[in-house]
Amino acid sequence: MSARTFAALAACLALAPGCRSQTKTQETLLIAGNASLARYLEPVVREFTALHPSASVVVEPGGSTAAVIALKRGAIDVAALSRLVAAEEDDPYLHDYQICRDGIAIVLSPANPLLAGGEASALAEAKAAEGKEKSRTVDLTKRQLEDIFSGDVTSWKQLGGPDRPINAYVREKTSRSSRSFNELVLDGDDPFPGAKVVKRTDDMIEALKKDPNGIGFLSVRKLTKELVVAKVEGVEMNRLTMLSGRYPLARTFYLAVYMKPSKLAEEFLQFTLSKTGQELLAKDGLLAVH
Amino acid sequence: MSRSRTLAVLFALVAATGLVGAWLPVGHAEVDAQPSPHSLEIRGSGAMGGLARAMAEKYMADHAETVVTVQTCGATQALKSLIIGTSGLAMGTDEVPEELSKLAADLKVELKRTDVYRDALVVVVHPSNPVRDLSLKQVRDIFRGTVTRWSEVGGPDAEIEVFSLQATSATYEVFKRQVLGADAVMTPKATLVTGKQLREGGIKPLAVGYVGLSQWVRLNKPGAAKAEREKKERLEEGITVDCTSPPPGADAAADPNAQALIFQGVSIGGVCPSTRSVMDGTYPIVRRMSLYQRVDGPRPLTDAVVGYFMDETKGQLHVAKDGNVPMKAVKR
Repeated sequence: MSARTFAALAACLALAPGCRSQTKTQETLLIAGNASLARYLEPVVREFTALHPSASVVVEPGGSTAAVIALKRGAIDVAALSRLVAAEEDDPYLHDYQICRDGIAIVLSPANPLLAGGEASALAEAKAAEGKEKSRTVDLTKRQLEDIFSGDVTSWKQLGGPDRPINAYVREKTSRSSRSFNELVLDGDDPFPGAKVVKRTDDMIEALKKDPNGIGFLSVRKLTKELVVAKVEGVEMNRLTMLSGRYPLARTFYLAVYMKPSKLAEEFLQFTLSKTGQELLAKDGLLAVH
Repeated sequence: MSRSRTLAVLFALVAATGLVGAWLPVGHAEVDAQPSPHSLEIRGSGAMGGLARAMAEKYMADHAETVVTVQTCGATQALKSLIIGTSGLAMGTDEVPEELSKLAADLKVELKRTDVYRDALVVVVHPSNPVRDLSLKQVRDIFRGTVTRWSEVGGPDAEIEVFSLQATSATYEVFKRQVLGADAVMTPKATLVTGKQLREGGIKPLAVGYVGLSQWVRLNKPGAAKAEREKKERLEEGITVDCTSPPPGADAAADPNAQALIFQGVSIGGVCPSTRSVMDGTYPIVRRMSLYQRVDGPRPLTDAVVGYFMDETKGQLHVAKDGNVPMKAVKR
């Protein structure tokens, strides 16, 4: 929907009291909130409107906080949130439904300097020889990751390894995993300009396979055994730790409605929670929760 | 559309409806938040977060194809979510706030509560303070401010410095309920600290405060021998706070074990806080942490997951290792 149509809808609401309720029965659905989630919902919306041809569904970004306000005012039908509703925002008529989880894996070359088999100490090599798997993983804190990708930490030496440069790899800004990464690791900021930008997932994988000093990220679905996946805060990244909430580089997406929503809104929610909806989200690298 | 423009349009929309007063039909959404028998959503108190995450992962590892998710939030928010049906299991204390009981009644929702573990509150003083026992009434009077000098409770003639945790702390909530009484107020002279400040700053010679029993071991920086003993306690016999050790004498500097204690626990009415005295009910300042579920139709997955929390070899063992008091004795 273009900005003009949007503004027209706003004008309609301003000029015609009760227009909103008429809009509801005419089968329009206005969803707004977190920009990443808005993009992830596109295939779900496409499939939903294919099943409800008379429905017009609009999904707009704007952020989770603004969306909750808009939802409670009745300005939108569904809020798309990248976090649980806060205690101050909550009331008995606010229904927030968990729809999926989103996670980022930190990946490195198997020849990474922090691992046994890289230029690590003899002790680490001996441990590996004993079959102790511990030396085969890298464990980084959220703080260290933030420092690496914001350019504040530039040598593996600062992480307890040899004095070799850290080559940070990131994806193009427009990619979905890029947005998730920025929000989960850099608090919404962009990576520092010195990070090497690659276009696609495969490019990231290839770059890291070739670069022992490299560190990058992948979305959950695209993980490959050819790269080492780092533990974060001591927690291994896997489906279980992401669902339990123990793995720190993960977040939960919610769809929220307020008071008695339109039947269409309820149907859209139910569709997103259904097997079909969940499969569509999983196809894009998200973790299904139903 | 650029982000700022979208935001502007969004706010214009909000403003427009504000002017008119959008008509929102009162009522609750009717969406089935747990449409699959293989998924369970748990929300609740961060105090139980670690335990819940461990149980979720254990259950999923044992049962492929199930999904058990955990989201921490305030206990009230979690209970509300359970009552309106946006999640399947809530973690909180053993008391349901009145407004939520009413909400449940209005929505004709019946709740079932399962107590998972108990946590005791230990009243602490500085090791040099000779006071080792207080009655519950004396503790109440001290924290209310009606008793102001140590001499009134068998200690030196000096003013009592009262320390309490911030009102947002779950430990404070328990303390308030169990010690002060529902409508009683803390003395305005009390200094409010965070758990972190207590951990890092310790306790002053004339001060009195309180900590959870599970934190007791962590807070008292142990000397090597003490660490061994505490590890043994936690894993084998449970925790016992020694309320009887005398204040360190003049040669305290020479004795490393005497040095090691930062907080001295006091007995309440002659009962020292310990895993055993909580379990047998003789220690009075105790809270229970619980799971809540809805009683509407059978939900095998919910019951099975609750079962994991209550299993002596799973949840209850985890509770004991954390330093909390399980509902019944476990083989450690």
